[in-house]
Amino acid sequence: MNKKNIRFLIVEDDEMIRLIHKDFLKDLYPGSEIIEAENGAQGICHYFENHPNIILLDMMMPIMGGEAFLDILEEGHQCNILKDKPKIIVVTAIKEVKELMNIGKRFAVEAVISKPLVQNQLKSLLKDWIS
Amino acid sequence: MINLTLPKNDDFMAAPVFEIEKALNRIHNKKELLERVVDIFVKSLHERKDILENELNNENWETLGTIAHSIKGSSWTIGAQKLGNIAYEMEKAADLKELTRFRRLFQIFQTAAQEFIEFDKKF
Amino acid sequence: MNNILIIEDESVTRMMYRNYIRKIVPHYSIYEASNVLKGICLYFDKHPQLILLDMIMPGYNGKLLIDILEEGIKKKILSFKPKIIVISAIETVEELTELTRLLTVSTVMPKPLPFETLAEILKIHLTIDNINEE
Repeated sequence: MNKKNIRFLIVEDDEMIRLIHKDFLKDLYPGSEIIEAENGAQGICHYFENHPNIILLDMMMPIMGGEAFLDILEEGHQCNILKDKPKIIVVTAIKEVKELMNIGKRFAVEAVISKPLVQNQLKSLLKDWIS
Repeated sequence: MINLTLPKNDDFMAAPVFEIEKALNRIHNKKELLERVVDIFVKSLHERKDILENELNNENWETLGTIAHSIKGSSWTIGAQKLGNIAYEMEKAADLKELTRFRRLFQIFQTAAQEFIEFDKKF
Repeated sequence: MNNILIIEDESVTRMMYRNYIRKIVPHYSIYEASNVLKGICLYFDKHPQLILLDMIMPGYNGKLLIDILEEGIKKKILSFKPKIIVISAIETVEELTELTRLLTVSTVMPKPLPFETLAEILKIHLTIDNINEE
């Protein structure tokens, strides 16, 4: 992945957290495009319409959450309809270890980070992927 | 598991109200951004408080749990540790549909929310 | 690009829809999904002009697709808007009103589907001049 044509998708219902993520990503990758979604439903639309490379995904959201988002992508992948495989970083306030582990095993999920987000974790992950 | 003792304000005394330093660290010491972020947070506290009141009257446990979870996440993100801890307890109470416990926690939450707002005003 | 999407979990029912639609509009490509998750992926991949959507299915139900499209239209994210025919065993007036209030739903049909009406509906929504009504 080249830092010149990176497209991020932030799927997060909390406006404040979206703002913090966006600000952080803009600082790290000023040339990148950053798309925002307030819930999983908007997230799915943006995913299929705009093909982001990297997705920051919250789990609990109104209307549609991260679980359904991941289920849709997984089904698409299994049926060979999905054209690409994004890198998903789940950022969640879920605390139950078992749940977190299960999320980590999901299709396209590269990492599960607990809220509050420690930005250095995110920074080193992204550095590994983006040249 | 039923909690026989109702929570009190004191249970959450140890947690800091607003760890500004931590919050600033998280956003690379951008004071202006912090102000914007706190504004949005306070606005969302008011909104969510109203929604919680409504949903509590209708005992919509799923919604109550989701909102408590949201408050937990954003409170911890902004360094409002105490509020986040209370919201966490609210989330757990909503999962177990414990009305009395949730009501009490909601009262504590409202007090703590006010405390945060005052704290923020001072700094 | 002439595509129709059928989202229905019961394979026999699905086959009946498929065969019937194929006779009416043989020049359309028909895509099928036995669950709404696959249906969502097919919608974005094939951009069908028309979707026959069963509301009650095991696992996720038809509402998931509707929620996604409603949000997509609300936020102007969608490049393509299909017409959705919802097939549902509606029990109450409230259910019916709720469904028809939605932006994405064109028609609500009862289950079991009266096939005679389906021909008329296809004609209207696909704006075809002459169709094979045998």
